[in-house]
Amino acid sequence: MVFDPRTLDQPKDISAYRDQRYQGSVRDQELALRTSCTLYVGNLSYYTKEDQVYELFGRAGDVRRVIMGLDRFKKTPCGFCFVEYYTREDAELALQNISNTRMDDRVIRADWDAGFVEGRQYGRGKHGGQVRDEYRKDYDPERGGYNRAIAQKSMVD
Amino acid sequence: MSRRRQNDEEDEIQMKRRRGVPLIGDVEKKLQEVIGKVGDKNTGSSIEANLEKLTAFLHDDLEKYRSSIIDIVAGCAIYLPNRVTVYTTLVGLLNAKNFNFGGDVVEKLIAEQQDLLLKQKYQEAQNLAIFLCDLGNSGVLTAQSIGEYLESFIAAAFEENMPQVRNDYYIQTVLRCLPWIGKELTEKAQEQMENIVEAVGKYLEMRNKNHVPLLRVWREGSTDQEQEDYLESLSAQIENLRTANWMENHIPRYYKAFEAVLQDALQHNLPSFSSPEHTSDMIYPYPLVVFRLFQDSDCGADSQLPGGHSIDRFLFEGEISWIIEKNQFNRKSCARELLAFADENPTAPVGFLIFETIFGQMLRLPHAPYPAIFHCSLVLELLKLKPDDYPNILCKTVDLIFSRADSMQPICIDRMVDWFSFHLSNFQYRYTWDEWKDCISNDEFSGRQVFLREVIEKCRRLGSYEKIIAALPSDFVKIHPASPEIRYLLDEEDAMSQRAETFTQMFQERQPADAFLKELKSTDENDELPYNINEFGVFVTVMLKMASKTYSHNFSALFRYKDTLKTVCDASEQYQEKLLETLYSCWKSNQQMLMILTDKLLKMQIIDCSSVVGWLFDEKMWQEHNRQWLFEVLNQALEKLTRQINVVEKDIKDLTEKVESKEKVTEAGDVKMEEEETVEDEKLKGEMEELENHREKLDRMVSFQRNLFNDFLIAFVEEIKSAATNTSEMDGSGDVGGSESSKFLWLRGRFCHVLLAHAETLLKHSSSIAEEVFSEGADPNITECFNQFQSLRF
Repeated sequence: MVFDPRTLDQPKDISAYRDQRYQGSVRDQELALRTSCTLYVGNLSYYTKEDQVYELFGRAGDVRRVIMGLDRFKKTPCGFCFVEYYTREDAELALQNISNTRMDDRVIRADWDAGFVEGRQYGRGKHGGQVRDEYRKDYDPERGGYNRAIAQKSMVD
Repeated sequence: MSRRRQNDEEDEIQMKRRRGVPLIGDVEKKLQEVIGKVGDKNTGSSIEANLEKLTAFLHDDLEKYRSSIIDIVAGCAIYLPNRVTVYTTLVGLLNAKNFNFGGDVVEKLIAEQQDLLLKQKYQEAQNLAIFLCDLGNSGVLTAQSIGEYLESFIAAAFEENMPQVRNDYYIQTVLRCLPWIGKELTEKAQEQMENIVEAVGKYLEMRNKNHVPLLRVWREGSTDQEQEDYLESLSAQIENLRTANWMENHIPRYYKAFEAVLQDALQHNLPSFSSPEHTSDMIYPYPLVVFRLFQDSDCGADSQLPGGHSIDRFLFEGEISWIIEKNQFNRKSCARELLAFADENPTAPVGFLIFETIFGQMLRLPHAPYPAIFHCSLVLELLKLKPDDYPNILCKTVDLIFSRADSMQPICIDRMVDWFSFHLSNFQYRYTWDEWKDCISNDEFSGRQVFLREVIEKCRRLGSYEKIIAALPSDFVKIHPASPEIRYLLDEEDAMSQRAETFTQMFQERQPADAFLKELKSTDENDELPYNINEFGVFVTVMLKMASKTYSHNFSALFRYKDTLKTVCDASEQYQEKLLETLYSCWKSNQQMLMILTDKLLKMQIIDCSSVVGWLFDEKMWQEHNRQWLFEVLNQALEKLTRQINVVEKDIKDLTEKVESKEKVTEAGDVKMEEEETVEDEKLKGEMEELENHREKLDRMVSFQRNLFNDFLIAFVEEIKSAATNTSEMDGSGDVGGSESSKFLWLRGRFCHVLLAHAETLLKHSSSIAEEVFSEGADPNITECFNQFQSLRF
């Protein structure tokens, strides 16, 4: 077999992020990530709607379903979603070409996901939303303003 | 090392084994890296110096790693065509030191070329032809044998009773090779060169060119750009180049620096090319039409744009296409390499040529070479890397394309709409909208207004109604999209409102699917249909209303009441019609909802493809035929059917192979236990039955598809005919009547769109279509389009 030099520029490997709550062995998770047709999409505005996700990600192929991430308590969008395609190729296309472009004027970020399981649509932070919203330092009006700690501190001040 | 980590590493090795990725040694990896990257320009030293170092390095290990090195060099020859002269120089230098090595490389490349052609990888096989020819410049091959090699391509193009697209490919390959080796051939293989030139001229004279108008982005005569047939244009450029004694200032000929070494090397003879046998299922590349957007006056005074007819323009376009081809899976490295290419050529306005090439690919007919979303993200990436210059070039591109939109093929307008809406969604929908406002008063079938209207609609979907309205100037109100809300038409006065209330209550009580079936049963004994059709419409309306909040709500409603919907729709086609009509009346102001729900209903097999086509081309829907969504739904539905057929075809192929291999084993006559034999026989029998069933299923599907296309094309031809005869000012079609009206031209364009979008399928059925659809009474304009289409596979 001849060598394809184009592979030198594009490590087709998956990113280093691993879901710590994955139910199964490391090997299972690895295999799931390498064969899955599902993407995790992050850094969404809380105000981005499901139909926008369909429109944008539909540009890369047939979308099977979109699952919007919700605040565990309030059941309102909390800034992420899962996009499931029918084929791996379409999902790859979306990852290559839609990740790091803008939706609602925010740079969104996509990554492989091992597959949606009921319960994963909910934020895992203490406050019900995503954990990252509890650690960021900036003011982000489309993701609920300051993180909680900062908000509370400024109230005390 | 922790235990977990160690396990992980073992896991990874396991994983690679399972995925069939070979485990390669460190040396191989190193070789791949140094050979694969030797053409990179940002290393701090010249390519020539790097080549010299690499040659010395490889020479030491040549015997030990011979086959690995050959594999890597062959890969670079196939996949890095923009570095062709780098690698031909490398092979030349190695050949000068080791004659046998050069021979082995050539042998490998010839074998690979045959293999690529069998796999129908035409572009890559052509890359190898150029590479082999260029080996004549680096002292590996004799000019004489290269001349004979190219002559054998010509001979292949002149074989009798072959499709023109196949012959075109061979001629094109020869022409593409000549800029590299023409000079050498003229000097050292004069006879062959003359034969080639004469044969190409003869070939072009007798060639059929009917397909050209169909593949033009803009209607003939509507722009000052010529949109010539690619092969003819290329041939003219090559002829010019030959007359200019092959002087071009484009190809970086690295071997020139090593002339002293190379000229003493022993040369090999390149064997003649033998074309693989043609079979009816081979699909050759479609013919091309030249795409030119810019003229020198567009590009400013700093640099000179090579003329539309110069070989330099072709070579630039070719190099840019190569860079894109190489980086099609990585938009970032693609943009980076394109910019590096621009920097290497400061005397030409390469930025303009990059955008011209990208948009030429985006608009190529019948199919763009890459997925649209790749071109979309590549453009964004280019602007990001060059924020000072490229936005201006892009604006010029958009302006030029917009100004010609009235004569643009609808299929191309759709592609521009999809790209531009995506693009704007990355820039807060800000644009110099004001400059486009005069087209609002044009008639509604004019290309510019269609473009503008559909861009706004798609921006609405990517962002929100409020955002796009806020971004538009106030005089755009005439073409504002409708607010995408559900329309619920049952008011209290309605006779059906009673029933609507009942259904609402049943939904709230979460009654099961069959409860609704009972409720819908017809009570009228004279009714020929088992379910009350109007009540079914009310049921659907109420369901859609209650699920209207999101797609997820809609999908779960469809799944919960799938049995109700499917049982009713299976009872008669009329229910399918009713379902689609109801869907349309509820969601007519939300085209995205229409598309996604129709798609879902098809996937759930509640409705079938023919009812969708029937609905879209019913007279009642003609008013929507100036909108993009309708053709998107249509093409999606037809495409889905084709994909299903492809799946069955593949199953049959796999099963046939399985059965055949088993039969062979049986024939081989192993002595087996009697019992074992019967079990095996039973299994084989079962598989053969399955194969038979699959074949019958395929026949049914293909004839369903053929009839569907025929019926649909007949309906479409009728509509176009009536548009040609009765145009009135009432239907927004403007003052000009008949076959000059923008409505007629638009519908004709949509007709071509459907032909091109399903080219592979329709070309298979083309004789049936010719007979059923075009035997009598079609508008001559439309018959002409169909004839052009048929010659795509001439």
